[in-house]
Amino acid sequence: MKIQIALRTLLFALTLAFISGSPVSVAHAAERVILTVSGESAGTGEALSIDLTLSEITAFEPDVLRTTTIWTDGEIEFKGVRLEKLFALIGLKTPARVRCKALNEYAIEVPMSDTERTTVLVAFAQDGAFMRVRDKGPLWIIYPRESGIRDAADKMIWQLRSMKALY
Amino acid sequence: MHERRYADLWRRGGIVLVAAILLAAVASTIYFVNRRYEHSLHPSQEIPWLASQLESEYLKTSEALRLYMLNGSVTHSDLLLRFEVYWSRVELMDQGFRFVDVENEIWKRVRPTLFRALKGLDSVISDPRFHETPEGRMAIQDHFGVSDDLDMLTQDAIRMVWMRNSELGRRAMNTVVATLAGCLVLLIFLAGAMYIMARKQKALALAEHEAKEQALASNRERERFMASMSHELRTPLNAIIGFSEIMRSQTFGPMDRKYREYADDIHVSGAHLLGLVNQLLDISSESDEGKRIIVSEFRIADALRDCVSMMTPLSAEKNLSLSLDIRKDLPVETSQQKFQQIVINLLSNAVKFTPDGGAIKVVLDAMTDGTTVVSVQDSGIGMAEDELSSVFNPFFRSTDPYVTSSEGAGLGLAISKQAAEQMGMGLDIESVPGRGTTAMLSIPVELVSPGRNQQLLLA
Repeated sequence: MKIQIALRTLLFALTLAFISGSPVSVAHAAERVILTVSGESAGTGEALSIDLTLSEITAFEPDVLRTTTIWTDGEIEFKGVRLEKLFALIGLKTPARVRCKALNEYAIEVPMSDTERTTVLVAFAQDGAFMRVRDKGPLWIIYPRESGIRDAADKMIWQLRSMKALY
Repeated sequence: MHERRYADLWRRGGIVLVAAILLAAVASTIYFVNRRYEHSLHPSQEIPWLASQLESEYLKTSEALRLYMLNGSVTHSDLLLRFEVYWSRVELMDQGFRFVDVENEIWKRVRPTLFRALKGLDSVISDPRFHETPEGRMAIQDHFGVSDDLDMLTQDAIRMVWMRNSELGRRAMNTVVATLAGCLVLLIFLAGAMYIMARKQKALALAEHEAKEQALASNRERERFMASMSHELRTPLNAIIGFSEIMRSQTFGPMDRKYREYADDIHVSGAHLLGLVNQLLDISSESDEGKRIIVSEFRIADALRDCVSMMTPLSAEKNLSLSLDIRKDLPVETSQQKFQQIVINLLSNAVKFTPDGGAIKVVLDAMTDGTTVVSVQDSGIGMAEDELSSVFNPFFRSTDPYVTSSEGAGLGLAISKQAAEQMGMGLDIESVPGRGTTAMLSIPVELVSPGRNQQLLLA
């Protein structure tokens, strides 16, 4: 467990080092924060609040999910980071639930148990293009259409702005 | 009686089944109507929510725009973000109306104006100083111009959904009410049928009760008649027999031989008549339905010994040998008085129809199937086969001269057969003319005392 935590911390440190040493870091300095994630540090257990820009999020190895939604036409390829992976990558303890809030203050809780049953993606791109705020971006939590998860449509929060880990 | 009970059960079962079907119909109708109602409600419920969200984002954007233009407390970046969210709500509103496929007059009117204002602002807002340009000012004016329309849209969306829900609810309620009314009519019909049935049953029960009462009254009348007949007939007969006996024994002085013979005749005829009267009264009282049998436990051999001792003097008069052979004795539970009555009747027949010097044997034995048989065998005159079939008929008398010369009304075997059957026993006669008769009284294993019965079954 300790090794796992150490590896996570190392991975996060490496990710930050990579970002700071790459041209993206320039963008980072000027970029707007699009997501704030708060929770407990996987290493120390202290409370952390991590602001992420689009460049930082896209720097993580992306996952892909092809599905349809009730708000869009046809099958779409969403690109993003799996929810449970996102917490590991930024060095936060995996929570039991995540309280997600949108730009318009809409809020919903997503249980982490959903991630064990299906793919829960924090999507940043739709059919290869970043999503504008007017198109439900920049971040949209996506569940597969046929996931069988109860109230999945309600949990597919768009214009995601912050996530608070609940343990 | 049973048929009526089964018919009644069928009717009751039918009513329960129909009631269950009705209930299931009502329950399923309500369930499906409710489901259809909820399903119909689902998409249109979104419209007022989308309209109010749109209005809310419009107001936030307008406020941000005002503050940006007034004192710069809202940054250009924040304003852009607000505008983007507002744009998304306009798109969602449009999408919402398309999704639920609902015509809305206000939206039809507002939509072009709203999109024109939206696109106008979008074309200038990326410039931080857009509000200072003529195009920018025009776009801002257009933006603020849709305020009343959006307010009206929210109200109209709420009213529209409310009316739609009311209409759906009314239709659903009509279906439920129609189903319930149908069921109510059927239930009233069923209740009526049940009421008529109950009345019929009550009338039948009353008729049955009356018939029973009538039968009881009739029985009581017969009993009274029998008792009075018994008294009325026996009293003069006893006088005739008693006084003829006195005359026969010449108690008050000697009589002429001829008178003595007449007195003998009077005595014999009187005794015969008394016997006939007794037998008639017996068979009448025995035919009473449900006559109570006093049951007791006794050993068959003991009862037989009593019967044999009772008949010994009579058999001795005719110089007959009377023997008792007990091969298997068992205790039974039945009426000892009736059992002995049967055996005595069989023995008296045997004595009566066996010529002087003959033999009578009473054998008690058990068959392999557990039946106990008491057989009374005589070496008497016997009967022809055609007579055997009528032997249990009341007043049956053999045509044999030996029989016709003997006393009796021919009721003894009829009474015995009736009594045996009443006790659950069997009575059969086997006979060979000139060689004798065997009467067999079969006692089924069920009448053997319970404890003993169990032992027998175990054996």
